[in-house]
Amino acid sequence: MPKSTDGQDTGGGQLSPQERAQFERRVSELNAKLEKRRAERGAEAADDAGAAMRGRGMAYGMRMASELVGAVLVGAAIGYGLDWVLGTKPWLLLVFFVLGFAAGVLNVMRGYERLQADIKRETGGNIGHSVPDDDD
Amino acid sequence: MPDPIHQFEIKRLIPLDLFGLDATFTNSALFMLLAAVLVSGFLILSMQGRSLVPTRLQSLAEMLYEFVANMVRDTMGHGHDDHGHGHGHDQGYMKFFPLVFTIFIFILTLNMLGMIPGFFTSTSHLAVTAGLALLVFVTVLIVGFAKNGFGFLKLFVPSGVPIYVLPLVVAIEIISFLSRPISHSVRLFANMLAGHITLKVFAGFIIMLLGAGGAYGILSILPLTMATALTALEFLVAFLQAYVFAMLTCMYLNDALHPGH
Amino acid sequence: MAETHHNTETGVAHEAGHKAGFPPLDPANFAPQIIWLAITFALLYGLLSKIALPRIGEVIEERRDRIQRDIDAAEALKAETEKALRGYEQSLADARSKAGGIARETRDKLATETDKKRHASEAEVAAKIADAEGRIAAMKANALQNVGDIAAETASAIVGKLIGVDVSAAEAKKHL
Repeated sequence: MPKSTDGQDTGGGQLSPQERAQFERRVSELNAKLEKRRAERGAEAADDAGAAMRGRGMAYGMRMASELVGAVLVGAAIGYGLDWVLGTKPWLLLVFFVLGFAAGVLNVMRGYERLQADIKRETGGNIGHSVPDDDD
Repeated sequence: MPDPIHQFEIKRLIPLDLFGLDATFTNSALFMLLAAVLVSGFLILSMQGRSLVPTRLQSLAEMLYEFVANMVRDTMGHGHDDHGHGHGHDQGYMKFFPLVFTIFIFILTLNMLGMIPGFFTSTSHLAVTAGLALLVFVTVLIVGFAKNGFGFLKLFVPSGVPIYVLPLVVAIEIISFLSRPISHSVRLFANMLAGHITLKVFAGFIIMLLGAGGAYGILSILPLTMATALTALEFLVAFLQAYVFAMLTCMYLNDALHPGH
Repeated sequence: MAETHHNTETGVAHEAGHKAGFPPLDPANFAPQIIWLAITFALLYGLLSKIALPRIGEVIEERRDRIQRDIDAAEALKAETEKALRGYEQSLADARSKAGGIARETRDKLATETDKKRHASEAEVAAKIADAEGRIAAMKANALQNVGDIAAETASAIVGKLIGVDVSAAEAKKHL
């Protein structure tokens, strides 16, 4: 380096240009590597989130029919039981059948709301890959 | 043609009696025991090395762990009250992780074991799925009342409802709550039952057409293709049902921790 | 084939000792399955929650920490390197400015020294010149005087030769 310093007074030629370039290349390579690791970790989290979303969608589909039927069944069973105890056949069965249906619809609506809320929460702020939480 | 119901037959292997209750060791019990032994054996042995660079088996175990942990975090981590940014602060719900994990892996293993020809599918029996659903239901009730006392009953009283329709709404909410273990158990049971019956019926078609010989043998390609596609679908269903069961467990537990939507 | 199968089915149904209904919904199958479900589930839950899951969690946690630590260390090293580079450039710049200062100082010192020497030698030369000039003047005066003497002598000699009068040089000089 001393031989080249006298040559150029004006520029920032502290190291020889080659050495300096090499050094900076290595620094930027290291930077790129670190950046890649960071991005990979972010992408992993985003992938997990994406897989969870798909699973949730399928799960939602499989869930709703049985939620409706289950509630109707429970309503009918309660009505039947109360009829049997109170001797009001078949009125309470009818009433609770309707209530059961209402409960089933409520289940489905609630499930839908929750799904929407989940989707909104996960994609709302930033469409596409979500940013991992600070604690991840 | 084989009877598609035959595969669900309970075989009484070792007659046992527990305080007057019929505790016979059946083929269903055998497969539940097998599942328990397989799962715990796998999870414990694969982690024997505890290496930071995992072996194949260890990464499978870790994958399962992360999968369920993410499910628990996603479903219970937010509290569904829209001001819960406390992703890492409220770790209380993580104490239910072992329960959710056990439910998930147990159902998954039972479902998958059932996919092996000739093996018994415990989850195609209502007693097993109802038992699991009741376990969740009772846990939710205990956690709900232990955590919130009678405040847990707020779950049945939505806010902002006019007083004159309140009884109706409360009745509907109670039915909705009670319908959970029913739909929870019936869904798993019905899916596994229907899937296995369908597979068996198609397998029966193949055997029947092959047995008829000649040109009918070539026709057996059709149900074979269907059976192959259905088997793939069944594997997906076997996984998804375990997933749904575990995820709903998380949701119900979340309701128990934070009642009053 | 169908016939043999039919036989086994009735056989099983007979063994079980109850009406061959739909087995998954047969209440006779409930109690043993629920009891064994409880046993196996409790066993599995105990093993997983006490042994397997904490172990897996530990390893995952450790790995996550390790990776984070490694990345942090790499970042720290990078920052250190950059600091070192900046420090190096700084000291290099310092050295350059210092070197410049030294050079200037040296030049100034040399210049003053040279000036001093030049002054000294100039003075010496001037003295020498003055001395030389004095001597020249003296010599000139002397020479002039000599010229007068010579002229007087020459004049007296010429006069003596011409007119035969012996004029002393002093006298001739007086008339010159």
